[in-house]
Amino acid sequence: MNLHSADQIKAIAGSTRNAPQIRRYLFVLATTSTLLASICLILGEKGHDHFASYPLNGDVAFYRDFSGRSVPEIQDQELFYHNLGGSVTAAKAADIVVLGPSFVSYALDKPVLRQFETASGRRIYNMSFIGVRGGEFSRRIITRWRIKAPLWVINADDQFIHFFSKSLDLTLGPVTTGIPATVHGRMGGYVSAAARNLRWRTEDYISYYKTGDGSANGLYRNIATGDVTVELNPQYGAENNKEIPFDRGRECHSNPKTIEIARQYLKDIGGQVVLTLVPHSQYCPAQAYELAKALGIEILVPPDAGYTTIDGGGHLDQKSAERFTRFLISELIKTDAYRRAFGKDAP
Amino acid sequence: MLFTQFEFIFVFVPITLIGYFNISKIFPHPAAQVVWLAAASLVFYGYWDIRFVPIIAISIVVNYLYAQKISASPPGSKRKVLLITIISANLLALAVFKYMNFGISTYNALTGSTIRDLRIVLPLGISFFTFTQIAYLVDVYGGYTSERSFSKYVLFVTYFPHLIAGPILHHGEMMPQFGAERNRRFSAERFAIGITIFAIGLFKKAVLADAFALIAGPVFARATTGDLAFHDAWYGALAYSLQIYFDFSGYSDMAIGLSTIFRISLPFNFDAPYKSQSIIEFWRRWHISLSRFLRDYLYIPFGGNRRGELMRNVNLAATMLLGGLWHGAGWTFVIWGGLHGLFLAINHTWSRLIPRFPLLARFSTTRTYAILALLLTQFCVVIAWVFFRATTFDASMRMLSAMCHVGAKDLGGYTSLVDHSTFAVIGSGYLICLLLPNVNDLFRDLSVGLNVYKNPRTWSLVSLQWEPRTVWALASVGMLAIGLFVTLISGDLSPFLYFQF
Repeated sequence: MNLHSADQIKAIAGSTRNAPQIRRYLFVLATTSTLLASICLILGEKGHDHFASYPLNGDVAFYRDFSGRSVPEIQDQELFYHNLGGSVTAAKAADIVVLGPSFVSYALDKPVLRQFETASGRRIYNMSFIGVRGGEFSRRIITRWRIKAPLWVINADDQFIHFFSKSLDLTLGPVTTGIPATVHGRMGGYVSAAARNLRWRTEDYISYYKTGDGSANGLYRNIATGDVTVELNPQYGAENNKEIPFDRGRECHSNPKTIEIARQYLKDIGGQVVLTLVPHSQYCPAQAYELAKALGIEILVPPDAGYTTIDGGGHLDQKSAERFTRFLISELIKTDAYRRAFGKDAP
Repeated sequence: MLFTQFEFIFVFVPITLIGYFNISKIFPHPAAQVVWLAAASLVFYGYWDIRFVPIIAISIVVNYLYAQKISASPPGSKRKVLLITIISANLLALAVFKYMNFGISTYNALTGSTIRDLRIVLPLGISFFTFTQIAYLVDVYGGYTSERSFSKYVLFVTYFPHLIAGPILHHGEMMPQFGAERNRRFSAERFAIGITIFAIGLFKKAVLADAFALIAGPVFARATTGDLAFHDAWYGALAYSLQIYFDFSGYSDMAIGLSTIFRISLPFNFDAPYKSQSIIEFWRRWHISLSRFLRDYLYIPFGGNRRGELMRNVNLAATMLLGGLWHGAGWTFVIWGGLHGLFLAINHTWSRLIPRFPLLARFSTTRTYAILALLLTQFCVVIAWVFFRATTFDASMRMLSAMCHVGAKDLGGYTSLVDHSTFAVIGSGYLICLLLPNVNDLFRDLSVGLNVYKNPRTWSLVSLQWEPRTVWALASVGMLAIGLFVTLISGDLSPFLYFQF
């Protein structure tokens, strides 16, 4: 039809079918949709932390956090940033919350932490994030969901990006992107987390169909403690891991910008703060000491000899994690910040 | 927002729909519904990036004011100057936002300069809203339209079902529908039809198109860096042909379905294009709203076929080259358009030759001829799609070389990119295109889309017509459920192909 012809509109939105037929059609459409949606919701929510989350061998205390047979993905950013499932609630209930990147996930030895919790009655929550080096992401979660820990332990690392920076980058292997959870709303968070779980489930089914192997893979995270199942990595418990070759000649200093960001950070999160530094080949205690001094807070840096890692970088293996955690706990309870947070006679 | 996004389906559409049919109870004037829908459309657009809203708002206001001025001016040179000024301004804006970096890279390639690309964010749908407005201005100048309502004009430009990826609307067929008395009340039948068409579109997009993208994507990615095998290239090109068809026609179906719910008819944009037996027929069935726009606002003003065969071919070539450039700021798009211009010219010449040779004329009526014509048409379309999809000219040539086995690594074997099952999947895709009826057929008696073309109905293996029966309701729920599930697990990885245009 020529757009300039006289007879322009042919379509008339009229009614050609009788009303009972249409009503029945819509009724079937609505009831079937509702039924399907209800079944999906019941199955997806049943015994899970968040929609369709993947428990660890049936243990619903853990959800699958890091997986993907083709494209590796991380789940916890959505869960924390949009407060899905029970993780944020658990973090809010903790007495001590530890912040940092994946170095911290590997460096905290679970048995040592549980011993301390039993002895002291204080709950420690590991709120580190794999792939996220900057602390801005944690700060946003803390302020967004009003997590008010009496005592924070922050890994003041400066590898590539200082913890006290405005970076919202996510680094997985060689790829660095923005953190997707920060650019969509909460509904997007729900959808994104559900999609990831369903993707992993579908991948496992396909893998099982193709190869007979649909087994659990990746890393899981504990809802109540924030612990990551790094022990599922065989290298974590290996005896032949190499010692960290520390670069002791590295020149590094804190700077006014970092100090300013850190000062604001501490103001935003409130509570008492102790800095620490998980050892790795490029770690730099000098800048962390300068930062702690500028901020007027305490810092706990372990001696740098004898630590071994799973990858020659900064991810401690089991025995080094135990050593680091013992050091951290034993020194933490001696700090003024600890006493200010929990009282003079706190155990 | 994407039509496949959960926010769109479960939040935006219900709120907009409820508001649209209830606002008239509070404000009886028809303009209330128009304003509501226009405001919702701007929210839809702004959800992508709020920075785009001022751009489209300025474009609308300036174009509308100029249209008023043109309309109020007596015929003469002032009127013409006004038209030329505003069209130039539109084209300049388009040039800046869409073609500036293309111009810079071309200049660099020609002169060896190293001028950096400008950091320009391309507003979504700028080609669509610029050209629809130019058409309006031209028609105001030509005296073809008398509609001057600002709210209707805003809705015409921003109407959310078409805003991002078409169909390209014409004011003459849309503005009379906005606020029309016959369309102001909710219709259960239109809702049922709309939701069914939306379900079909979602299924085509999320399940079919994205499945073919999984085949085509890796092949074209390999083409940018290295050589391909014969099978890789052919399967990749065929898969992309199916991907773009199901993607774009699925999107159009979703747009038509959504609009039907609001009792506003959009033009059908596809009509079984892969059943075409010539390139001329293909362009009557593919992106119909663009074809008629190019015809009425480029080809005919260029002179059309009024000055002999040679000039007709020149006009066709020019129209299709510009059509290619409209699709994207890159030489591969220009080549795609140029190829179609060439194919059309050859097709017209062939059509004129057939009656001159009685044997050929008789043969042209046989089934064998029809099959050969269909295969040849499909071959030409697939070859052209290679340029459309490839990111560089070199990548296109690698694809075509491999398809011709020139320098291909391996004619007989499969690589890691494709295998035997790929052939079955592509074959199934073509069987769907060739044997099943399309949405136009399914709803042919229900006045769903605007009657903007007069293509003969194509042959289908099964003859289906939608009826408000339980089986159709269950099928719709099934397509919606599968479409939503696939959309959910594929995440943000599959935006509609036509958004960049």
